[in-house]
Amino acid sequence: MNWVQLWKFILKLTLFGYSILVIVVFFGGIQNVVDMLKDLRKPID
Amino acid sequence: MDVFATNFRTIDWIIVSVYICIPVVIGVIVKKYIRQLSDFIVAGRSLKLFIAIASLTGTELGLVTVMYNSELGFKHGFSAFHVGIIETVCILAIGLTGFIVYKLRQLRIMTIPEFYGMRFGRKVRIVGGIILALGGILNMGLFLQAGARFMMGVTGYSNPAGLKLFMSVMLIMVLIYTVMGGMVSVVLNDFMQFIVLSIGMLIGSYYAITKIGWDNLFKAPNTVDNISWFNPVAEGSGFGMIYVIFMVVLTFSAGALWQSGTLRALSAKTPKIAKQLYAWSSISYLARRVIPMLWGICAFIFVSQTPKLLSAFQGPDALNSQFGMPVFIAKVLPSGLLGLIVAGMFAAFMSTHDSYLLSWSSVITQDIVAPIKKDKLSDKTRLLITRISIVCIGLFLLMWGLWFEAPVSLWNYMAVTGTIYLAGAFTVIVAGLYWKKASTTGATIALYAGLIAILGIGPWTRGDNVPFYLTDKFIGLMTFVIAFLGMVIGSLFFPDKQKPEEAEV
Repeated sequence: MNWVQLWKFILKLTLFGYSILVIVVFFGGIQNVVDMLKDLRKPID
Repeated sequence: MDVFATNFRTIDWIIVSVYICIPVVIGVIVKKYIRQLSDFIVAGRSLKLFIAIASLTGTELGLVTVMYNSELGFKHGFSAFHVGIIETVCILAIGLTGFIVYKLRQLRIMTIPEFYGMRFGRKVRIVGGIILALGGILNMGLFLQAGARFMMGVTGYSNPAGLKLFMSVMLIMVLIYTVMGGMVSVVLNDFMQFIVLSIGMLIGSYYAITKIGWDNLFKAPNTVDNISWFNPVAEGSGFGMIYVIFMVVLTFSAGALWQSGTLRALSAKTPKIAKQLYAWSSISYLARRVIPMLWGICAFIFVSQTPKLLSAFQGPDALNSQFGMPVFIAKVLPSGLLGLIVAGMFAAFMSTHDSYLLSWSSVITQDIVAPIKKDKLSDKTRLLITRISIVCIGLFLLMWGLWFEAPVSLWNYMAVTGTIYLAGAFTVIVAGLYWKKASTTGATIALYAGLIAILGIGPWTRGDNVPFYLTDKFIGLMTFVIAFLGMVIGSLFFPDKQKPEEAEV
């Protein structure tokens, strides 16, 4: 594999991987926010 | 074509103005959740995986990150991608092994120097806290300047007083919501900003690639050397093997121990989540490097195809290369989308500032003031000191970053100021966690050794024919080596005779 092919692969991997991550984090994150605020409302030990 | 011609219109100003007010509203709303110091600094250690990923990315993908990475792409082409690969591999390795972060989260500490205190005693904690705060606050020093350049490049607005005023207003808004809502406010804003910025970056990349063309993107422009445009170790690439090794050491240590990033691991609900956070975030770390570099590369190809633009970036009065990317996106993105992306970039600016402000103010309270007072401070007093520190750092940034012109390049400055802290911290934390013979003397020498990095921004590092031993990359790398040797030699020759004062592990 030469440099050009390597950077092509890395660029495709980045754009694809990051797109998937954004979708996963968006849906998972909303539930996490709700849980975090619930945790912070609990009485202090 | 006018260099500062732009598609940025009134609608874009409205999008940006509305958007940057939202974090302040969030800060006001979440203030009621802050009842104790740990809520303020580590969000009550309640972060679950996905919100932690968004928050870590929101912190580590700042406007300044976009600026210096796009500058690297603009100046060095695809050969700059190697920094992203190295950083991604380092973050993934930390995530898969839990190296450093798992143990630190297990100890339930809130700052890095807190560990120094537990392992090596109060004095080391204070020294470590001062060096961390010094390196960290100086590291933020050029953020406002980079932000102003981005704004000027993308909006075409060039009134210096207006630019300073706009950046100052943004900083004040960050100060307000960080002082009010602490980490809870920071995390919620990071989440929102992660989503907006990421979507903006992905759509922006589509436009940038479409403008240049996929095949043209991988052809070196006529104005540069075809080999060094792609090969980071080729002669003339501007990098070379010493730089690559320095990047391995720097990105690995920064990945594990940069306080603002590590704060997310320390805020995670469990040590296992702290570990997973790093493994997942390796994708974000790749994106935060590669996507801005891609924009920089596209910008350079675009500029090199437009004679008037090319002449603006050449010659004795050439524009700073940081302007390349903003000038490019201002011309290729349509109005509306441009507003969204600029809002996302300013969101990145704010999310980095909030986390850094919180990080360094926490260190000042927990690791400098509290140990000096021998920990006789109430939670309420600590919270107050943290909030006052945030405001003081903010004022310092206004003076330093906006009203004074720094004499060195952006990346040079970032790497050197980061190394001041990282060289000592990495050695001390690794030795403290994994080497029983590590002593207080060794830790102190290693921390002070970090100060050597400041030589990397001296006047002797500039020019075309600088000997390798006077280059910033060699000095940076040697700082790590000297810190490591200082720890080993100091520990072997001056072992601790008894458990250090106030050490708890």
